[in-house]
Amino acid sequence: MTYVTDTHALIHHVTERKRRLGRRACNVFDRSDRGLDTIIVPFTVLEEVLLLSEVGKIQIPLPFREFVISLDKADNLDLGINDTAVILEAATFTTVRDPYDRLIIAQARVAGVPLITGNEQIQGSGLVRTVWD
Amino acid sequence: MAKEKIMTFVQARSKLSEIVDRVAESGDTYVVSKRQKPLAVIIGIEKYRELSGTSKYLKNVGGKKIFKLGGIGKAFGDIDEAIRELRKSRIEAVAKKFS
Repeated sequence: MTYVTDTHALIHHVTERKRRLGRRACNVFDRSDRGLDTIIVPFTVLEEVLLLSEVGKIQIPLPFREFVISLDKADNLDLGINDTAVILEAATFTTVRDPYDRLIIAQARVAGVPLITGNEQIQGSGLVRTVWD
Repeated sequence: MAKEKIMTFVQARSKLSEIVDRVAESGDTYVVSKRQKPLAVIIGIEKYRELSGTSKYLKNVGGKKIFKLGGIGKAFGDIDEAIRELRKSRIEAVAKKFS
């Protein structure tokens, strides 16, 4: 199965803070690492990973360029591009105010797959199926 | 700084071991020519991966290229708070620009 990931969910998995992840979210990431599920990493999430690594909040043991190339080439991961479909989808709802959340939700809606997120506002929005606990 | 050198096929063959060490260690590039035509290039594996867009972090698992993300990185402090702060600062920067 395919999922879209939110930024915090991806980072908690990458940095192995499993206690910060919901049980089902943790399971999906583990399955992806074994090639059993596919996770779409939205452009917005990737951008935040870059910025957080630049300010020293996270450390990834490979150059960012290599990180992106690896994501792009891997069969268990996909890069979600902020294309016309995503921005148009984000424009169809205004109930979520955070513009970055909107783009991530839009990515999941365009792909037609659940979003891995612990964000309660998104979970309760009814805009997208979510996976967490 | 990495250099590009041109050598004939005969020279390259006689110094292949030395060339392989140099491309791996210094990032030098060797253009090999035959009958005065440049025909091939010897480059280090890292440069090759960079140019071809392949990655040493991908593992073959059951015929699939897998990038195992779990536990490869480290986080410092409260990441949820860091993401909130990052977004707030980006939104404020845009608002400031257009105010």
